[in-house]
Amino acid sequence: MRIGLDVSSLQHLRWRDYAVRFVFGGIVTALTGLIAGRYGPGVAGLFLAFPAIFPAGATLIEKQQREKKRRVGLDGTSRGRFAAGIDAVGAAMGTLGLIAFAILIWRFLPSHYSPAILTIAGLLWLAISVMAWRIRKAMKKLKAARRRKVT
Amino acid sequence: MIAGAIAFFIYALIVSKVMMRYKPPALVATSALMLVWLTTAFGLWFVWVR
Repeated sequence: MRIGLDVSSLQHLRWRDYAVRFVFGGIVTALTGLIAGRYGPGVAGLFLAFPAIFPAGATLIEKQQREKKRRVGLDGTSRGRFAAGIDAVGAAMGTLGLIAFAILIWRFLPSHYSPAILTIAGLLWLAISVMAWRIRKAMKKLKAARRRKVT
Repeated sequence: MIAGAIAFFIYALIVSKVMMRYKPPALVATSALMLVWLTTAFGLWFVWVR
């Protein structure tokens, strides 16, 4: 699977779908602020990586794929759930980038110019996430080739 | 944030395996497995950050 941007899928989303994501994200952001005030930034930091939007996103992807298949007369339940699984793999790869982002911020933000560090950390997130996806893709290809060799 | 991100990585990997192998409804899998995130995140925080 190639990493790409499909703008046409925006047409199939309803405003309610966007609202669900914004509301979940907003609630957790607000909660993180409250937790930071009460228990300190260490505990609040955990919630900066809380899977708030992910369940809503995975559910919407499952629904979209199911409806896409239904439009051509197929069931689509299994396909939708598999697509949600692939979305989860993407989330895991993105999280590797997030770990690198957090380490960079932790080590360099206190002693360096904030906008520069945040920009570099953002770019590092992008680079690591894309690289992780590519490595995973190459490993899958290698596994498939080995399986073909055996059979 | 590092502990939370490690927990998210483990959570997302488990969600992907469960979704692809057993194909449960996405909302059920992502919500039920949130316990994995909570346990890992707070476990790491307790051992490493606190």
